[in-house]
Amino acid sequence: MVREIRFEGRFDPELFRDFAIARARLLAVEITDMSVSDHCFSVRLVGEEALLGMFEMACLLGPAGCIVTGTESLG
Amino acid sequence: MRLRDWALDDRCYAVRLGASLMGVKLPTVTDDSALESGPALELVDDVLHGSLDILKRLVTLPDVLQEWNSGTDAMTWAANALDSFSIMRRTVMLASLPVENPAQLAMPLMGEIEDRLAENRLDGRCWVSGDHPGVADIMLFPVVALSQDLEVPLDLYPAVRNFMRHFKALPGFITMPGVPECH
Amino acid sequence: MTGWFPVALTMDVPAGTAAPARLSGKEIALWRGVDGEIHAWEDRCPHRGMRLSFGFVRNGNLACLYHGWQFGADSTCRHIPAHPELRVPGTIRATAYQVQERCGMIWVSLDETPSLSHLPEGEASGVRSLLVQVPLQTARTSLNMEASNWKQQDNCLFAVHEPAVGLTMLHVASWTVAGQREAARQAVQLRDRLEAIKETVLA
Repeated sequence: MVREIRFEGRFDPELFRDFAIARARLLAVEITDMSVSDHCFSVRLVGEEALLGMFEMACLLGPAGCIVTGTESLG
Repeated sequence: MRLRDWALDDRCYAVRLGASLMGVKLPTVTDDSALESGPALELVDDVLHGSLDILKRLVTLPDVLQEWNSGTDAMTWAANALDSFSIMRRTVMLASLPVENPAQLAMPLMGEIEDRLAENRLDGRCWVSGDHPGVADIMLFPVVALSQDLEVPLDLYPAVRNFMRHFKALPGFITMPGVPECH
Repeated sequence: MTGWFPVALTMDVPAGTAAPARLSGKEIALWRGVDGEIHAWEDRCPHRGMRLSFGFVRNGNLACLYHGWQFGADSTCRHIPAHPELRVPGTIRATAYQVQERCGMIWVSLDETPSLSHLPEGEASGVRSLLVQVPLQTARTSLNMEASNWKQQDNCLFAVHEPAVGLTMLHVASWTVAGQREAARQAVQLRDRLEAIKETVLA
């Protein structure tokens, strides 16, 4: 399964990026594309549906200091 | 017979717990005076105050196993432990700012409890009351179970953990917020 | 931190239960399967960081209290209740430490391949683990444990570890049933003496 996730908010890009990479590794999902700025996080992933869902939830809650104010999940 | 109760109060929990373990149906009414002064048992012609006196009365009820009434020395000690602990816990939980190192407040009492339980364990007993759990054990359980509210690290108190494990397995055991279910 | 450290008595982690331990502040979850095998893991669920030592043993696995994720004896996640059909990837696992049981005590090493030669031998039974509120070095000096964290004396084994700075756990085991009470008494006496000295020094 493939999923694209987009979050808006206030982020520390480096922190968020590291967090996403670590989470993807833990959940054995593959990040095929990712971009992170201080107000936008978007990622494209491949993996099992349940694990993609867990990844999305984890990033929604995110690392300390990163606040998600808006979300968009595509396919 | 009716208990004036506050769900989050440790002393009230001791009474609710005791009633359940003894198989006594005890209706409760939420009363915020119980937060200040602890539980009160309304009887036909009297009102009893305090966990110890209420539990001692419950033990006299018909159909309650007399073994719950064992260990009268331990009862006084446990009642004092519960009272001291209750003051510490309310101080910490009702403080307007977080208390620094709250565990320090409780550790002398935890040490005393651990010593007693460890001593009994050498005789093959896990209860402070003797061979069967008693009123003293009922009053002791909230102290050790809710010590988590004071951030007491339980890795330091193995005899306490052993007591809690056995206690939670008793038929009729009930929890309160902050005391996890057994599985 | 190399070598083996006594962290608890065997009898304090019965089969089918989990218990917390700390080694110089490092939080450890000890748990024993119903098959009797002891495990020592980092006390943190990889899911949301909940203490695994608060968990419970189910189907031979350690289940986290928070969302019920179950971890098997090999430390891999075997079951996620929210996704019961999911074949959990092997990347989701608890961090396991080396663990041995000797002389009625549970010993943990943070090394990957620690030597077993420095552990005590024999069939002793645990008597008590008690807290001594003095630094580890004070306790070791007092027990004449220069190069080690355990010592055999008469028919008893005394072993120490530091759960956190300034605290010592003194573990006691005995080779004879008759010696248990005396061993416990000695331990309590030592504790009282060391803590009284500390009070005097601070006063």
